[in-house]
Amino acid sequence: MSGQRQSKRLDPMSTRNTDWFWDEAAEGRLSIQKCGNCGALHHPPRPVCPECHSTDRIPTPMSGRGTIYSLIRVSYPPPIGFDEPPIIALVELEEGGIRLITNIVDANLDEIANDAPVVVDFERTAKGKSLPVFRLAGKAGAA
Amino acid sequence: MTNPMTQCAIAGIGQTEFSTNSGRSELRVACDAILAALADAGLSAKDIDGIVTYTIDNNDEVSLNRALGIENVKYSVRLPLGGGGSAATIHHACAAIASGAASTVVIWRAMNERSEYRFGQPKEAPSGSRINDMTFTIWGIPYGLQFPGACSALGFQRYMYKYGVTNEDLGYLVVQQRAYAASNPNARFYGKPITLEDHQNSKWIAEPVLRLFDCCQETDGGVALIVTSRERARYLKGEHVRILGSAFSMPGNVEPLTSYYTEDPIIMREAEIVAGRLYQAAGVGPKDIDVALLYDAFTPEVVRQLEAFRFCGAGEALDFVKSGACAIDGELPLNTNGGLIGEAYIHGLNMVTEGVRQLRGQAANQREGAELVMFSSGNGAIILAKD
Repeated sequence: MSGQRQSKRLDPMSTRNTDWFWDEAAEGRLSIQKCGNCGALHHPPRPVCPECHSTDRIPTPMSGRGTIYSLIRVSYPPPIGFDEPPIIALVELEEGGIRLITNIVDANLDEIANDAPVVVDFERTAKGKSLPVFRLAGKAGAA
Repeated sequence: MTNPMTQCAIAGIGQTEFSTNSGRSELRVACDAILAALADAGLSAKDIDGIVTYTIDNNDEVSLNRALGIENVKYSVRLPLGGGGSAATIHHACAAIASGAASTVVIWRAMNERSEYRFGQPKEAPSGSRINDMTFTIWGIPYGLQFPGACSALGFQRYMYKYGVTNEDLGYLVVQQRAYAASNPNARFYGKPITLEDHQNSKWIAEPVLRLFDCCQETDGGVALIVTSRERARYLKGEHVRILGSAFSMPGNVEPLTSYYTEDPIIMREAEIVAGRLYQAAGVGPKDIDVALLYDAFTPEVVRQLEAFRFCGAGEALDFVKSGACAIDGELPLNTNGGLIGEAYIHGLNMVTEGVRQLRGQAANQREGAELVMFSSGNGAIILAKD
């Protein structure tokens, strides 16, 4: 992965339940919460496993591969932290049952299709936090 | 045995003007709307013993009581889910009255969301009551998903892909609603109908789903309702309408506009559950409804509710609209005040005033002989009837 390109993005809001997700991204990992007791994967993170109520949460690295569930390009009003209208997508991870809000980077809207395969990459916010983003699999620059 | 939840009525409705600048405080707007509703019902502030609103309203209950001289509150609730909870305020008012917890409940929404702040603009950080772990505030903001319209569009794009519909198909719905607004003197867009071409020329908000005209417009204004028992309503001044049925649902993982983590985000799961409960409570079905009022902050939400309430099959809503079914003499007149898109964005409560007016025979766009009107805000819904 090319990893950690600088951007003008806003930081994600910091909460005790979610900070670890972005900390993992800073290490170049796309990790999802796995229950230490029953093994269920859950996103977004939460303090308790909704299946078994265990509080043992294990950040678990994913393959970083997925497909595009849905996508839009948001142009007006201009989102804060972007020079160009960002392409926002829901990506389904290949591990199954997990969808992420993310961006598809280095691609135009007309070359992106629903169900297209994508791979994770990372970008830094203006203040240095790290975010998982995705690029089209097989496109130059992809892992 | 009679279900006591079906024995309540809306005894009064009130509103302010709908504008881009109310010129007065939000608390004053709330007071004006409530006083108008009390006058319509023939009641005074001293008669109120229940006060109900839903999140995002900035007026706090103590200030409201202080301003209006409301002295005997026995029941108060502020529902979750923002506008998604708007129809559910009536369900909870009915529950309070049916149980004896209160006898006369006022419900309000009053905001200066256009002149004091821009409710629908991009957010850098959540504020006020939206500070909890909401999907869009935590997971959307760094990716540019920073306002409600984009949230609606992101989920709905999958529907468009699955059923092969386009933004132009959504345009027929907007043209219909703006035609209603054009002949409604209360509406922000009174006298301003649009063509499909106008819709297609309006700027993209979130391509390929939403254009500007697919979105409600932030509005300054307030609406208030008075709910009491049918029995009591009969002796009051205003022409009451019966609340024939009401329902609420909060299924797991469901969130207004951002239900991205459910098994099938295309489906409005909360509304499907509400539909089942509502039709059972009211003892009627979708074919019996004379006028439908569906929360339309953005056009995709109307599509999802038309299908969830079984007015048409999955994937058929936009063909249904295109057929003319939603015109005043059609199979299902829809959002006959112009909706939130055409009349005003008062977070759902102005759909209830429209429902009452339809049953009183006083609507700007009157469905001849309307006897049953439905209003849904997704997580809640009501059926109103002549009594």
